[in-house]
Amino acid sequence: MTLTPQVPALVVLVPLLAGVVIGLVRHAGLAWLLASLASVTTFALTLALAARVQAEGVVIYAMGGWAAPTGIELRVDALNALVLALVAGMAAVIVPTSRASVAREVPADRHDQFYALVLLCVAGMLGVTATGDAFNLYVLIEISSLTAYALVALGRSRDRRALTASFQYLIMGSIGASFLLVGLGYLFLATGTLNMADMAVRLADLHGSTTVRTGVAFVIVGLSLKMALFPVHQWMADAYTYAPTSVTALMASTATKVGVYITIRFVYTIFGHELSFVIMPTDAFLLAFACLAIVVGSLQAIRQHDVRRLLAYSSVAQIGYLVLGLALGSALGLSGTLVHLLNHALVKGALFLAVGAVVYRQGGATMHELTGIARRMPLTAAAIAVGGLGLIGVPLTGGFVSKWYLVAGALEAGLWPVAVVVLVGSLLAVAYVLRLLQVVYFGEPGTVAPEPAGEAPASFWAPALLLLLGSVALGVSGQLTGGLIAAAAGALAGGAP
Amino acid sequence: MSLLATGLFNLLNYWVYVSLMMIGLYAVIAKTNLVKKVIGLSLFQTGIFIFYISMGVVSGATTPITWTDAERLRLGLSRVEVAPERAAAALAAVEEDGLDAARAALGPLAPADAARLDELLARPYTNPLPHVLILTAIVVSVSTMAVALAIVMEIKAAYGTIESDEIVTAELETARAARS
Repeated sequence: MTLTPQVPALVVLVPLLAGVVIGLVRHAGLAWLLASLASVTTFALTLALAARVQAEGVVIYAMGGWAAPTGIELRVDALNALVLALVAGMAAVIVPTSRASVAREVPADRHDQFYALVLLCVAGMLGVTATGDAFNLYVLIEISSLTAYALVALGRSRDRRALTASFQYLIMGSIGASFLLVGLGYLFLATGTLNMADMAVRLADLHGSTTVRTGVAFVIVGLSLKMALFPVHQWMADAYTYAPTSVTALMASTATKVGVYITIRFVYTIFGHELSFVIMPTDAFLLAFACLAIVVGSLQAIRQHDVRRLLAYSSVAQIGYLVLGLALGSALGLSGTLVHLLNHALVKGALFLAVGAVVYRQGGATMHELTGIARRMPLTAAAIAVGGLGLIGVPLTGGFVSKWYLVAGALEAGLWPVAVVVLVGSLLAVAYVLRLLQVVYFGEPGTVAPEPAGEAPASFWAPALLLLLGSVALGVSGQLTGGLIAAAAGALAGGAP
Repeated sequence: MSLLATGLFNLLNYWVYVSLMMIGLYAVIAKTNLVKKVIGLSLFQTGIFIFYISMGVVSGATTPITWTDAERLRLGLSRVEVAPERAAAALAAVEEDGLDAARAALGPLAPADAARLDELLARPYTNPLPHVLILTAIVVSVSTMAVALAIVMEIKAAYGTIESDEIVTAELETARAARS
């Protein structure tokens, strides 16, 4: 028997089972080793899957041999192959290199639980991305969310505010998931199916139905909560600030991206262009909040003293860009969203890893502790600098490419105020990034802050620089994903006029 | 009966579901006690369970288990007014020739009874899928409660209170102390 046909299932099962096994070993080192092996294996599997999607087109896997729509199927096309590889890739970079950071920030007797939770969370996100069944999606979202609440709460040994952040996240996350559940209930009521492809076909005949429109509204609001779209973003700022730094690096680069992916999946594949944009004003709703997210998130970021909080508010703004692209409803806008999704994951992951290095050396990550670290921690400072430029979107970074697409998409749709918002957002990003870099490079330590103790271990700056290399490659060549982005954007916007 | 009352009565389950959800949401937002917030969240999710359970109901149908034609007919006959000998004839016919023959052997019924019987014979069973789904959602909800209460316990240990306004005050004082 060969395992090749089972790859789509293994992508979810390997981290899931590894998470359970790691939960049973009572040894920190062994837990770390198993988690690293599992995350690297999962990444290799997602790459194999992406190659197969590129060669053969959509890969469909019937769970347990039960054919859809009775059974649950995994359905991987260009779009989710890309997101699967992104999530697994971030885990494969962050988990193996997290040992020093976790040792500093999480109590030693909790390491096995920590790695078990991380893998279960990754399994949940991969499952959400791979599944072709709407109810399965809800359950897997809750698996990744429940583990994420616990992971955020693990930050309490450093700061007790991690607990209140985790509680807030739990309340908002559960309400978001419940809205999604209600929405799915209405869609099921109208269509009698939970299979996404089947639901899309049946919804095409039901466009006038009030039940369907109610369902769409609930799903969009629920997903906005899960993505942390303005104005329901506050949980994210707190959770990212107080979670252990490696958790923040992982979540900032994957969790919200998966939320954006689900939104794309619902808006384009399941609802379709007509239901989303003609019958329901999804585009106007999302565009308005996306623009507000960009402006308010960036303004908030400028005011922050704690760098993790600064980066979290910057994430609020970046989610605005992602949602803006998908709400434009065109191939250009979607390409912008997908490039930005990859680029922001790489850049934010790298920035939080670099901040993790500062926390490791200095015990905190406020502007105070970052003062003048460039002298003693040149590589960490370089990662912060390149990452910051990526956030602004200067040429030669992936951020430039995605913002180019977004502006072009907005102008194509005749929405010049939206293009202006993208540019204003970039200017505000210049403000908060320059403020950060000024402190890092030109701040005088000794007078205001303790002298940095020297460069952090390579396990901090090496993965950060690796991720940034990916971001720059994305900006220079655009061929990094082997045409998957173009294929995904083209296929999704195919229904658009 | 007025239109409003009819709507209220026919959609009673849905009114209950929306009311429970809104009561829960109010508690989550307005209560300062964290345990009360968790209770509100639980109410909110319980409302959704009622929504799912209600949508599976098919009026006049049987439970979703395997019924033979004879069993189904016997259940139907128990719900209508019919002379015993005609019922016996129908039951004999169903063994021989199936439901259609049995329905013919039964002869004419009162219109309301005929409608009820035909509905039962035509619609086999209520939809079990939403009930199965909601069993899963109940498990998810229970897990959420467990995590939420665990976090509340840790908050109590760290702050000595589970009132959110007192926690905010404690944080403000910590920040003020750190500054001075």
